Amino acid sequence: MKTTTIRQAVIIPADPEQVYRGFTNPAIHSAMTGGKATGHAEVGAEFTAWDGYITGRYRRLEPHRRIVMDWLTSEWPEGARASRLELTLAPAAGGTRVILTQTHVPADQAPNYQTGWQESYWEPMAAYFKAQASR
Amino acid sequence: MKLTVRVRPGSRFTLVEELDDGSYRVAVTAPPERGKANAAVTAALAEHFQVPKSSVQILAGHAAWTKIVEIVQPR
Repeated sequence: MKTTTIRQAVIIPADPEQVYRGFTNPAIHSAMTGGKATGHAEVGAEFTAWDGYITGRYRRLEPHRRIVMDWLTSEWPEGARASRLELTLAPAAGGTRVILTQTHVPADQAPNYQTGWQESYWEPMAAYFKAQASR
Repeated sequence: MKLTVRVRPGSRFTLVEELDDGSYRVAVTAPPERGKANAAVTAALAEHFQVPKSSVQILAGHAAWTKIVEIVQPR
């Protein structure tokens, strides 16, 4: 099966600690995305997001700086290995610069996930943190 | 280094995405008016490549969604 890598860099209007918690705290993740998330931030622990559409396992956690996880969806090809998703966080003008590198993504599904990151994460995250800031 | 960049102005977030074919997709919050989006694209690429804004030049497509951009690494 042909696989590919997704590379995106985005500015989220929140500090790195908030963004880190947004990815690793299921209650915040659920509020942020609108889809239920489960799990806890511990290396080796499993997590789910978007009502079980996304499942995975934390591989490396560097608080407020870096998250590495195995990541796949319910649409993943039968028998295919999970993708490896790495998120690095750094302070930047306007918030936090999130660099996403996702390897071993099934090539024929990659366009869906490229759009999915934007529509299902970056947009709701930007809206969520802007709303939090205005409270 | 010359890049082909497809721009999405008026986005809710700033995004730089490297595509498989070597081109880039850049979303910026600025609207496409009076050069605001071009300035935001320049700023986003400068931050992405960790160069000064002066090192990023739009060579072609100033009023188009697809632009040719040159990144000059500072000496």
